[in-house]
Amino acid sequence: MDFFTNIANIMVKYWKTFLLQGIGYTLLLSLIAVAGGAFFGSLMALAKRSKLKILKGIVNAIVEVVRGTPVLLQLYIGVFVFPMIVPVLSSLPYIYSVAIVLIINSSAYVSEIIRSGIEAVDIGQMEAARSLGLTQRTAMLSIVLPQAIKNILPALGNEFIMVVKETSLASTFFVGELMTAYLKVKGYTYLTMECLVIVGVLYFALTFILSKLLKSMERRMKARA
Amino acid sequence: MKKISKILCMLLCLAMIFSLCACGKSDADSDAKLSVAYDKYLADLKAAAGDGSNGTLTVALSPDFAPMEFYDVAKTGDDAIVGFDVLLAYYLAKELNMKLVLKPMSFDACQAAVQTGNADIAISGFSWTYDRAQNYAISDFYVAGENETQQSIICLKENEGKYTKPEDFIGSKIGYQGASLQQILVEETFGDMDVDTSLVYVDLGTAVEALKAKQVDFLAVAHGNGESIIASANDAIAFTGFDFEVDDIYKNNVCLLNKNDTELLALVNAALAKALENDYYSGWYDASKVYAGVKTLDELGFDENGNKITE
Amino acid sequence: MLDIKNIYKNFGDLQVLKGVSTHVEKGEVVVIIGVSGSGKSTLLRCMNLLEEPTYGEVWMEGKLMTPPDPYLHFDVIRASRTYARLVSEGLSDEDAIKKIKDDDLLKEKHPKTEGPEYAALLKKIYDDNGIDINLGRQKMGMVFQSFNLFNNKTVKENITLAPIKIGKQRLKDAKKSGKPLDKTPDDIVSEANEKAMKLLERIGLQDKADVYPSTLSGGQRQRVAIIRALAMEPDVMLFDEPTSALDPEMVGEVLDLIRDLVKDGMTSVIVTHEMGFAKEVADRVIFMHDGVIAEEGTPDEVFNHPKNPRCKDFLSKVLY
Repeated sequence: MDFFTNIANIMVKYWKTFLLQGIGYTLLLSLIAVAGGAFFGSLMALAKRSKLKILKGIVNAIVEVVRGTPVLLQLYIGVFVFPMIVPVLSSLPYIYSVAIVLIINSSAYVSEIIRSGIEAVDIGQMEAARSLGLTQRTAMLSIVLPQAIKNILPALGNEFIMVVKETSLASTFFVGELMTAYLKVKGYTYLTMECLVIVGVLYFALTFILSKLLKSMERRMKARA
Repeated sequence: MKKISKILCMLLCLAMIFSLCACGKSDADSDAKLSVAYDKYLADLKAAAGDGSNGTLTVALSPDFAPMEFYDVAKTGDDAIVGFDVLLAYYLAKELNMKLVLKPMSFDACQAAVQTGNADIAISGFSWTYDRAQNYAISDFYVAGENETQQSIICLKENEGKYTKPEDFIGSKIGYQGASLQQILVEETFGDMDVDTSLVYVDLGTAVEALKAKQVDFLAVAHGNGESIIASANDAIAFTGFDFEVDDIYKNNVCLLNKNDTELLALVNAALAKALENDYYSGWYDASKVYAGVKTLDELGFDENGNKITE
Repeated sequence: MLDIKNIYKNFGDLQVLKGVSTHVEKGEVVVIIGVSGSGKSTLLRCMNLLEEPTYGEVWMEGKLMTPPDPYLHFDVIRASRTYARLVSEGLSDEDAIKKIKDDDLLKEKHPKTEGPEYAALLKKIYDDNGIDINLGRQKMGMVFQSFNLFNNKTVKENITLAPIKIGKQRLKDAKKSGKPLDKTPDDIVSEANEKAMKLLERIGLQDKADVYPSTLSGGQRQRVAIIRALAMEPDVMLFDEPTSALDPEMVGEVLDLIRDLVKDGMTSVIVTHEMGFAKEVADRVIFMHDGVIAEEGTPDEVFNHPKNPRCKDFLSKVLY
């Protein structure tokens, strides 16, 4: 029973740290990562389809490196090496470097999601559009992309949930998200298990609500077509 | 949408239950007093600070280690990071006439930060070790009370006081935090005895959970940390009564600097020598301990306004 | 009307078409038959450039749609050493090029049909020769084996999409070049809608105008696909095995519609396995085998008196 009283006491004293700061920063970082990832990921997906081999090569290399290395390692590199390249970063809080790393990471995954989303659209759709005399561009914009988006959005939602969990690694640099909240509170109270249960419940609540929201969005989209 | 509102309702209920069962037990009032001595030291150091014309001093530290460095969630910004090493950092900045920037990160990352030049100095309860000396410029020692000089072993309450000499531990399991001074001590002391020393923990909190779950019989900890742990364990944990014999080089903490930064190293060492001469450390350490809730003001000789009572 | 001159098509190392030439007259119905893999679908797709011929020319209503002899432009230049050698050996220009093609001397220097350089060169050649593939395609309606209705558009939108988009584009171009405009964008939309409804009425599916294709049966989908092509008012219709993906009971409705079109004088090229239908509607039958036209003639000639042994063999199998 001690255990639950401890949890209750921690929540009373530190609810702001967990609920406002922790969840706030977790959502903020995830949103930045996925929004930035969607933007740059689209550009990267475009680059992948481009005819310029160098561009294609660079983007593919980025994607492979990002997918082939752990996020934690990417964060270390982002925090310690980026400021050497971009001096402005060294005078800013770590959360900027962390956000940049998460955006790059998410861009790589999103670009793959978009690429496979486009490729999953039956090639016959493009052929039919071209056979009617539509240009490549028009066919892409009014036929292929709208269908690709239907494949892309659910996967993008999953990526968002993944990112929510991946932000926990940013706690290595105490940027304030949920896992940092855990570190702060357990560093003082030494009540590790209790704090872990709290952040565990919060992470689960976050991702659970998100996935339910995404499911209902998906259903609505399906109902429309 | 219905489902989602249901879930939200459930979560709200949960939160209410949390706060309800906590209401009776709140001890928020007593917290305000804890920081009073510490705040005084900090205010003094800040007041004495120069114009910072010598640039910024970026300090890497891992604030999950009360009373050396930890978070006070009631405060905001850099002020939220508190503890002995933070006072030391403010002191160094004052002495060097630099502007202090605190960069919190994990213990491992502290070393990487110094190595890559992201931080000028890491002050995070580091002990001297041979490997560290090879790769970093290491400052002279500073003394955080008995935090490092006294290295102890903790156990479950029921075993309190039963283990006092190394031989008593034969056949048991002793855990410790990886890459720490305790690891060296445990290996030196119990290495050639029939003691299972294979249990390495990433952080102390996890280790304490293992102790509570009886996965490990004993934990080697710095005495100061041991006090913090015992204070929050509701008397489930106690000191065994055994203290390690600690070599002089291990008794103290050091700051890590970049290998090439000899100029700063000299300045830091001069400041540390001055602090030792004037005996600043013990006051800072006691104040941090009170802040961490390990000891009361009274026990460590402060009056209730946080002034050290001098005899 | 539609002229195919010496078309070659390679997929990597695989030669699918090995020099096919034919000519489709206005109002003519040409049926292409042959075993799977003989290149008949590829030939049809080459006609409207869905597949770009590796070599050869496609002429639509007197206008060239392929780059004029890609070999000449790309690879004879690249293989100029071979070419020079052949000429120095006493061959005429034409014979040298022919020899390079026939003996496949470019094998080591395979035509590079990818990459930005190729695309840029192609564009330049198209521009220099006034080639507009899209314009050509608009004059050719294509019907696919798997219907390929746009899944994200309603039946009516499927039919009106191309007329509206292309109509508006023309309007824009006219505006740019300062020509007087004879209609507004709204006119184009309402005209397209009107035409779509008329076409839907023709196939009796006017009540399906606002549903998505996924709710239609296979036969309905293929009929919508056919009128979608008709909405562009094409001069020639290309049918690529229009009934192969259909359940047997739906084949009839689609064939009826095609028969209808043909009766109205629509120039058509039909790839099909329906031999009875081929016999009935064709003015001319082409039997393809191994990438070449193996037999060609009136239905009577091909079906009843085939000369080519492969054709005899094929017909004996499909006609029982």
